[in-house]
Amino acid sequence: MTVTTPAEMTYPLIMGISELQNLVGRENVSLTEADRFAYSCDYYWVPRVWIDRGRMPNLPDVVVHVENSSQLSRILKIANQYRIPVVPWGGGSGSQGGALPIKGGIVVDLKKMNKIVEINPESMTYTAECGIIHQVLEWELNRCGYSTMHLPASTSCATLGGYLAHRGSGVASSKYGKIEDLIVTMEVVLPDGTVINTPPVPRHAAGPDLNQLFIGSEGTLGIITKATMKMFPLPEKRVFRAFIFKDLSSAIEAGRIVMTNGATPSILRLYDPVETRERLEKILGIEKEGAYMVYGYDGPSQLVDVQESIARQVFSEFADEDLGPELGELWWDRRFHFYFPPYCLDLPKAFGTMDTVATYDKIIPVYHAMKEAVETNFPNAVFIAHFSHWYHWGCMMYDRFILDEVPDDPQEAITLYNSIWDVGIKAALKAGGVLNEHHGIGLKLGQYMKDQYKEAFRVIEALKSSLDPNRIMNPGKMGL
Amino acid sequence: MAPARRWTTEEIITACRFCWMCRHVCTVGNVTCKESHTPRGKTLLLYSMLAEMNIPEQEIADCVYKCALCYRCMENCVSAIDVPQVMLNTRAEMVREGSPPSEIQNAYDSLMKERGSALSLPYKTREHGLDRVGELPDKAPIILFGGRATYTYTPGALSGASEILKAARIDHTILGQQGWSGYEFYEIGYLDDAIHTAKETLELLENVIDDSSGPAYVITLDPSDNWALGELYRQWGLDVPFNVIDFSSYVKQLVDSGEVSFRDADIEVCYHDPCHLGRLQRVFTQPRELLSSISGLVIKEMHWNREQAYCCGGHIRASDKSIATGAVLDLVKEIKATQAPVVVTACPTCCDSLKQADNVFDVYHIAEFLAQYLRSNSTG
Repeated sequence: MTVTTPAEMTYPLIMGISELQNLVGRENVSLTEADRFAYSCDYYWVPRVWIDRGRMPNLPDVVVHVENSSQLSRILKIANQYRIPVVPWGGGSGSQGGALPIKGGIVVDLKKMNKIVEINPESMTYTAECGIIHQVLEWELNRCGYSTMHLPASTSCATLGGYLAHRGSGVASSKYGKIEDLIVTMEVVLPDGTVINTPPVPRHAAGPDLNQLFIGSEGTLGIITKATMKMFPLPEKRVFRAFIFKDLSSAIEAGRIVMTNGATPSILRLYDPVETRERLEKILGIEKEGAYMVYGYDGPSQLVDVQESIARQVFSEFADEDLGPELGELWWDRRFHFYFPPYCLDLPKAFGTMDTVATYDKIIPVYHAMKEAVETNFPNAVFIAHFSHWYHWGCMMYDRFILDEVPDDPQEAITLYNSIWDVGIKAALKAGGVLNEHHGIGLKLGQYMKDQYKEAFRVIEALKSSLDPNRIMNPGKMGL
Repeated sequence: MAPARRWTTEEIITACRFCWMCRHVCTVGNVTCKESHTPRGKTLLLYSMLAEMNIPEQEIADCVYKCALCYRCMENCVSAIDVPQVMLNTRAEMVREGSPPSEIQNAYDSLMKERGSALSLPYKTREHGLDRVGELPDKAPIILFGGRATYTYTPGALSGASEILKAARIDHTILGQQGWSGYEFYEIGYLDDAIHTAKETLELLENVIDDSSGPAYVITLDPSDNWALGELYRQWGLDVPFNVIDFSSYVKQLVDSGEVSFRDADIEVCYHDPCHLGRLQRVFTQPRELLSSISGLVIKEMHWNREQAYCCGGHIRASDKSIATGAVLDLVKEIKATQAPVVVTACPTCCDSLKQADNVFDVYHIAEFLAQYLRSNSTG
C-alpha cells in the first residue's frame, strides 16, 4: 500500500495540519512516520499479523496531542472544514480495531488530558479528564482511600475515555457494575466542535439518557473528554474461594443463584474445562479436570462474612471440589498475569475474543453452539471460554478461539481468521446470544451490527447522520 | 519483580511489540504521552527494522534514545523483561553504524572534551572542595571511587565519604585523577569508548589498590558506576581484581559493627531511591537503615518509593532535556507531598536533577548528608 507522507499530502490536508500546528503548537503535532506508525496498530489481531508479516498498515496522516476540550473543539472544526477523518486514541488497547486510522486523517491522542478534577467524598464521585490512564487514576483514588472498582486487565494501558467509549467492564462488575453503571455525568465534544455536558445526575425522567447514547459510541458520535464517575471506599475486607465443577451447567446454576439471592459477589469467574486446563494450569498451577470457578466478596467485614457464607453453602451444593480460599486468592494475585508475555495470547497464534452475553436460559446453549460451530468447521481451532460478568438475568461469556498457526500470507491468514469469527458469531446470534459485551465493536464487528440491531440500527444511523453529517468521526467503525 | 530469565533481544522485541502492560509506569511515555516513546512503541519500531519496513532509521533512533533507563517497565513486568537493555544494545548498534541522533553525537563530543580535561587535572587542584579530604595514602585496600557524575554534581559526597571512612579508621584512598566508569559513554551507545574508558580506569585503580593484606574494595558513590564496575566490566570481558560495593551498603556494615556512628538529629528527611541503585541493583533498605541510625531522624516516605520510585530523568538529559524536566517535576511533586525539608538520595545525577528542578527542599547525597552528623569523638 502507499503510505501518505508529508510530501504526498493533498493541499487541504496540508492546510488542515498547518492550522492544527498553529492551534496546539508544533510540539503537539507529530508527522514523523515513526510516530504515525506507533498509532497504526491497536490490540486487534489483524494489524498485528499484518505488521508481523512486514506489511505497512494504514497510517494516520498526523497525530495530535490535545490538552483540553477547547482545543479539541477547534480541532474538530478544522477537521470538518477540510473533511479530514478524526480517530480518537486513548490507550489503543481495544481488541476490535476501534482505534485504527483505517482512512488516515488525524489521530487525536487524549492522554495529555489526564487531570483528576475533583474527588468528592460526600457524593462519592470523582471527576477526571478522559485521557487519564486508568491505573494511574485508580492509584490516585487509592491514596485517598477510594477505588473506582472498575478493575479490568487493561487498567495499565486503557484510559477512562476508552472504557466509556467501548462500554468496558472490570473483574468486579458483577457487584459494582460496568462502566455504564458507574457514570454520573460527562462532557462530550460533538463532531461539529460543540462542547456539551449531560445532566449532572444519571437518574432522571427528563427524556432519554444522553450518557448511554455516547457510552459505547466508540468516537463515532463525538469524543468524551471528561466524566464524573461513582467511586467506592477501599474494601475493609476481601475474600476469595475457588471450586471445581465437573459440569459447566452446575457452575452456571451456582452463579445464577448467588446473583439472584442477595449474595451478589464482586468477582464471579468460571473457566470452562479447556481454559482451566490450558491457561490456569500454567498461571495458577492448578492441575484439575473440570471447570474452575472463583468467587470474591469485598466490602464491610460483617457483610462480607454473611454473603460469603451464603455463597459457600450454595457452591458446596453444586461444586465437585472446594479448592479453598488459597486458590481463589492466587487467582486474584495473578489475575493480570494472563495478559503478560509469555502467558498472553500472541502471534504466531491466531485468537479472537467474541465476547457474548445471554440470559441464563440461553448461555449454555450459546456456548455449545459456538464451540461446535468453531471446532467442527475449523478442526485446528480450539474454543475456550470463561464466564466473567454476571447479572441478575444472565451472564457474559468471554469466549475465544485459538489457532496455533495461520498461513504465512497475511491475506490468507486474515481470511481464515474472519471465517472463524463469522462462523462463531452467526452461531451465537442464532442461539440467542448478543454481541459484544465489553470489548467494543470497532472495525471487526461492524458488519454484524445490522444483523444484531435489525430495524433498530436506523436509530444509530440517524444519530450519526445528524451529529456527524460529514462522517469524519472514526470512519469505518461500528458499522457506520 | 519476578526472577529474570534471559530473553534475547529478538525475543523481547517480539514479546513487547504488541504488549501494553507497562505503559502506565513508563517515565518517558507519561511525560510525552507519545505511543512511540513507550516500550511497546519502541519495540514495535525495532520490529519494523527487522521486518525491513523502511521507516526512516533516524526517526527510530530518536525514539530509541527516548528511554530514561529507569527500569520501571521491567519492575512492573510479570516476566521482568529487560526492555532498557534492548535500548542500550540498539543504541550501541546505531553508534557502530554511525547513525545516532545529532544531539547524541553532540553529547558525545562534549563528553570527550570533558574527559580530556578531567584526565589532565589531579583532583586536588579542582575547585570542588576536595581539599577537605586531606592527605590520603598513595595506596590502600579500600578505594573511594568518584566517577564523572560524583565529581561534577556532588563532589561533597566524595569528601563526606572519606570523612566517614576516616572516622571508622578505614585505610582508604581516592584516585589521583577523576575516574570515569565508562557508563557515561555506554548509556548513549558509545560502547567502544566505554570499554576504552573502563580499561583506563582499571589501570588507575590498579595503581592505588593495595591488596597485599586481602581482597580490595572499591566503594562507589554513583549507582551507575557501581553497575559498570560491578557488572558491566565483566560483561565486557574485563578482569576486575577487586570487590565493588555501593557506599550505602558498605557504610551500613560499619554502622552495624559499631565502627562508625552518627549524632542525634531532630530532622525529617525524604529518601529518594535512585533507579540504578534500587530497581537495577536492589539496594533499597541499606540507605534507609543508615539514615535511621541517626536517632531522632524521621524518614518521610514518598507514596511511590522503593521498587516503584519515580525517576529523576537524569539519564535522558543527553537526548531530551524537556523530557528530563518533565520527569523530575513529577518526582518533585511527590517529594513536596511528604513536606520533608530535606531530600537525601544516593546518586549524584539524582541530586543534580533535583537541585535544578526546585529549591524548596535541600538535596544531599547520602555520603554528604551523613558526614554532617558524624559523632565528633569518632572523627579521625
